[in-house]
Amino acid sequence: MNSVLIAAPLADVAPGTLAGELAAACVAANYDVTLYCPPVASDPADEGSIVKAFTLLREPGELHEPAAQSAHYILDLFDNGPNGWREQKQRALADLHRLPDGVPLLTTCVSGSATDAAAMFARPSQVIGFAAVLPFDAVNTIELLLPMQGDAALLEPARAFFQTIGKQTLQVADGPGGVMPRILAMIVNEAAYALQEGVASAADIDTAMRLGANYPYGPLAWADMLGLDLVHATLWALQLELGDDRYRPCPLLARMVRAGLRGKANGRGFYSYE
Amino acid sequence: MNTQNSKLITQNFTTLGIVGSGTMGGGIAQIAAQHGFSVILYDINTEIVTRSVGRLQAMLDKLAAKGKLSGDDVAATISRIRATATLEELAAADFIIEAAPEDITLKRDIFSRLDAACPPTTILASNTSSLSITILGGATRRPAQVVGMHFFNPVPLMGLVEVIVGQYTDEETVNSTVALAQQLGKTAVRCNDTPGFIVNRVARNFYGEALRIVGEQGATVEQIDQLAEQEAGFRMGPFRLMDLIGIDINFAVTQSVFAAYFGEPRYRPHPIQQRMVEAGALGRKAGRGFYDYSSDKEAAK
Ligand SMILES: NC(=O)c1ccc[n+]([C@@H]2O[C@H](COP(=O)([O-])OP(=O)(O)OC[C@H]3O[C@@H](n4cnc5c(N)ncnc54)[C@H](O)[C@@H]3O)[C@@H](O)[C@H]2O)c1
Repeated sequence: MNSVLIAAPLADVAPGTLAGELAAACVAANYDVTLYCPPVASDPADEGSIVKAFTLLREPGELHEPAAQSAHYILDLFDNGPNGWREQKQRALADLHRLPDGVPLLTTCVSGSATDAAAMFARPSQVIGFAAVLPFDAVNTIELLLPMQGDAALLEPARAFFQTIGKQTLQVADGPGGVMPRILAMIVNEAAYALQEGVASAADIDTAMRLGANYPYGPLAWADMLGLDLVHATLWALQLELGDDRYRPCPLLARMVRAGLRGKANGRGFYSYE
Repeated sequence: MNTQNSKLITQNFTTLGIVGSGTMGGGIAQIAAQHGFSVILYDINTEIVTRSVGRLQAMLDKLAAKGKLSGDDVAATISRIRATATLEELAAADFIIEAAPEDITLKRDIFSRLDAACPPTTILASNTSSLSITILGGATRRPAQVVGMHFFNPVPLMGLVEVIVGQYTDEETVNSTVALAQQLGKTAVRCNDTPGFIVNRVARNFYGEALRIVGEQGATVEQIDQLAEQEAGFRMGPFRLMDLIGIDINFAVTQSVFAAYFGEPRYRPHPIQQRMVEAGALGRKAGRGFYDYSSDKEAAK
């Protein structure tokens, strides 16, 4: 049985999130899944039931254990947005270089570029970026991003891995949010501006986009699924990387994130899920 | 407030007047007549409006041939539509929807003539996609009874109506318009009078950001369409959709929203659009856009 090591903040390993859905997809595809969740500030009080299905490593020292050393793939779900996540990731994953060389390290690029992520690791040539939107069930194609320091030969094992969990892949150029997370972040930002400016209610904005433009979800409900903090981080990263004001996050969105509204993940976003 | 749950004080309408019998006016006349309203359909001359009614008849006959309507339904629907080239005849309608060409001078003139011709309580609605309802209200002595009723093309198939609330539009007018949209089988959303309303504004970056990514060589047109459809679940990727809408039409909407917000960078048009429009690569209707349709007889129609 092939094994996968998934590095993620513990709180993110939940149904509906990219980390949680990828972990579940790996289990469903018969991978031996080990979670590496080094302690971070956002950790929940208890480890919850979801992690019972996996081998859970909490300390860098545990990366010496066979469960980690035998991994065929490493999935890194620590976001590296400019909102402090980058520093958190750097601290949390400082010890990942203890893992065997040559294993593809697939890192999420929704809120930062693959090049930026690769620069944090001792072996940047091991890193391949990937990006996808949610809901994960509806995603048939995942984006692959090759860091500037990366090794193109690892694109093939990355493709093969996603194939085993039922997803096609498509390589796009490196940049924060790849293609669809970037486009979607911009659509959400506009909907948030429209809401802030009192153009219409959240429900009416979403209804209008579903019925008037055939969107699969209203942008504000979609933002709640994606995570408001993540959408905000994508916009911020784009603004920094491209230096263009068109990416500045809507103040309402920024304030919601500051207030701890994350969307479905904690039940409060543009809508309430209590 | 949720439109569906708001307490409605509404008037009941039986006769709708429609100004302009083109794509949108014709579609609105069709659904209104099909939903049992009497319709007075106006256009600038008898020939145009007669041709429009002929087109509606042909459309309904087609629906009947597919078994979606009975022959009696077709006859009854057509009998509810009265065609006219005399604007003053619209005075007999209790709600008027204007769907004339998108030109502020022309629309202001129509609103001021309707204002003079119709009883002071008649609601005057515009189907404009980009002009300000408040400005149209300013061309009348009844700004409180002027409202936007933004249908989507094709009217019989698209389920949405944006009800646009001008700065001076009163609550009763808004509620009556929402109720009318519902009686026409549509879902109504309430939207304040701002450039692009909801859909044409929020959708801008589905196209604009995709164009920028192509411009940066971040991905190709085909790749972005594939990802929009297979990763994000959009029915059609941004480039296929621009080809369908018309790259010129899409570019014009972007320019109008960009100008209306005095150069806000989120709406900035892209040079690729302008180049294609000026080269005549307008999309399906031109046989050529982001994709090549020259061998596609369906698209060329
Ligand atoms: N076509 C669309 O996709 C769409 C969608 C939503 C809203 N709209 C809006 O609907 C309106 C009409 O668009 P359309 O696509 O039906 O245009 P169209 O060109 O198909 O029809 C316009 C009609 O208005 C008539 N007309 C010209 N001058 C007139 C006048 N002075 N008084 C009365 N009628 C006059 C024309 O003869 C024509 O029949 C525009 O404001 C447009 O922005 C269009």
